[in-house]
Parts: sequence; C-alpha cells; structure tokens
Amino acid sequence: MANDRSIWPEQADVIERVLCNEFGLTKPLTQHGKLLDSIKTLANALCPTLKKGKDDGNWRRDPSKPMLIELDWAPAASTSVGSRNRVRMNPAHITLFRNAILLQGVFGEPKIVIEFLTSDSKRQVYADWARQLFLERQSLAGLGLLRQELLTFLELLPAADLQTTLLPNPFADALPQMGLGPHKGNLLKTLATQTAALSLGDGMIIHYLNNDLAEAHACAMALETENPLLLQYRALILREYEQAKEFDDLLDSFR
Amino acid sequence: MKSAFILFSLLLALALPKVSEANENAQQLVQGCKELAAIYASRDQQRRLAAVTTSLSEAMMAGYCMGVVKEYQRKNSCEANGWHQLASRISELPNWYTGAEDLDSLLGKACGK
Repeated sequence: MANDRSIWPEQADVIERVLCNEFGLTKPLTQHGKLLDSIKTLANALCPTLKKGKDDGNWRRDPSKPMLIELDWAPAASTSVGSRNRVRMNPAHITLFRNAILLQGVFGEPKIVIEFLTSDSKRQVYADWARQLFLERQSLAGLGLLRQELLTFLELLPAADLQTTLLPNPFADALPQMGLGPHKGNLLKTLATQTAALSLGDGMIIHYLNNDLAEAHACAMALETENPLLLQYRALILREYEQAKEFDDLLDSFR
Repeated sequence: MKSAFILFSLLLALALPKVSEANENAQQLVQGCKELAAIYASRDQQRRLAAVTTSLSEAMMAGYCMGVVKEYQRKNSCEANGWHQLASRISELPNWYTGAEDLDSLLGKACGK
C-alpha cells in the first residue's frame, strides 16, 4: 500500500529508469547534469513543500499548492548524520512524473506543466499552442518530416489521462532540458521565435520572387535568424537592394 | 568592259559595309535611346526600383545612347535642350526613317537641322 513509504522506490532510481530504459538516454546519467537539475526542479515543483524541514525529516506539504506526485524525504535510518536524504516517490505517480518530464521538455517551465495538469481550460490552450507551433511549420525554409511519435504526442496532449496513459517521447536523442542547442531548454519559446522568424523569412522570399525588392528588403532588415537558408537569401536581397539603390542614384545624378 | 565591271563591283563591295555599319550604329542609337526613356520612366514610377526591371544589356544600350547624345551636344548646336530631350526625340523617330541614315545625319535631323 502506498502508505508504506519505506518500500517506495527512490527518486533517483525512478529517474534513471525513465531516462535510460524508456527515453533511451545513455548512462552514466551524471553526464546530463543540466537535465538532472531540471528534472529535480520539476519533481520539487510537483510536490511542493514548505521550505523548512526537508533535511531533518520534518518536512511538510505546502497546502496552498497542488500536489501532483508524492515524494517522501525520510532520512535512511542507517546513514550517519549529515548524509543526504534519500528521496522516495510514490509508485502510483511514476507515469504522471514521466509524462511531466516530456511536458517540461516541450513547455520549458515547471510552472506551465503544473498549470497544464491542474487546469483543463489552460491545458486546452497549451495543447493548441503546441499543436500550432509544431504542425503549422510548413514553410519555404523547410523543416523536414514530423516523426510519428510527435504526431501521437500532440494528439494525446489535450485530453489523455496523464496518470495512466504513457505519452510517446517526441524527442529523438536528446531532451530539451539538456540545454543543447539555441533554445537553452525552452523549446516552445524557441519554436515560437523561430516560427515568427520563418514567417518573416517566407514573406521576404515571396516578395523577392515577386520582384518586390523594396518590400523584400524591409523584411530582410527586420529578420533575425540563424537559419542558413534564410541567411543566404537575406544577404542576397540586401546586396541586390544596395545595387538597385546605387542604380537609382546614378540615374538621378545624370539628370 | 570586264575589268571595269570588276572594278565597279569592288568599289561597291568596299562602300557597302560602311553604309550598313552606319545603319547598324543608327539603329543601335535609336534602340539605346528607347531603353534610356524606358529606364527613366521606370525610375519615375513610384515604389519602383529601376534596376529590378532593367537588364544589363538594356542598361548598357541606354548608356551608349546617353554617351553619343552628350558628345554630339558638346560639339554641335542643337534645337533640343539637354541630352534627355534629344534622346527622346531620337527614340521617337519612326523605323523607316532611320533605315538608311548614318549617325551624323540622324543626330542632325533630331536636332532640327
């Protein structure tokens, strides 16, 4: 029974099982320091406690905040004073915790994950936002095919029971919490920024193809991106615009 | 008789290239001045960058017209005021008119001589 907390698995073991066995990350997990930190932050957010008391076994739940998973900071009896607590997790909440890790990968902040899990209306909004960002990225700059896992993930996002349903892992080899790449852990924000840049980039290219060099130039000046294709077009458009301006000035000088 | 005939055809052969060359120059000048007029029309249209609708060849032909016209006005008096007007006049000459002209007489006619 869940009341017998001493038989709850340790949080560290749960994390290792989820990350290595289910998400396919390689051991040792210590190489993924950022990821582990993010997950611990997430776990603490999902089981909010009042600040005092974790270290001496007298911790208490924070009643003002929702508790989504159950953790237990009981000190191991046989360890000496001053050693770290072993944190245990209620096995009934492991699926939810696992899903929460994926949600954190997508939405970036534990706060959003909690809102997602506690408010149906906000959950719908967040799910729609994620679907839009991931699926509406059909652009000239191109983004390749979407993996089946991502599509299923997005389908389950609005309404699936996250306590019991396993969300598929949409991330191929690396979880966004690892902080690799430009997003620094906040995937959706980066996607949103990228999508805005892509729309501007698409507009820039379309104007250029329509021979509207002045409009293309305006887009190019406003565009900030690291996308190599967009950067090439941007440089090309800026150069052509400069030359066209020179030509106009030359014409005026002859008059 | 035969030698006279040969001599005559030789002379004609020598003269002909010069005439056709003059024709080519005149035709090029008219063409160039037409391009020049088009480029400035494009420039004067709002929100247009003239370079976008002008090819390299067109720009060069226009430059040729401008060069010939400016040089002519430097050395000769002309009814037209400024190179722009003279170039317009030339560009508006009908095709049949420039068929057998050389540059000098063409320019002279455009200047009202």
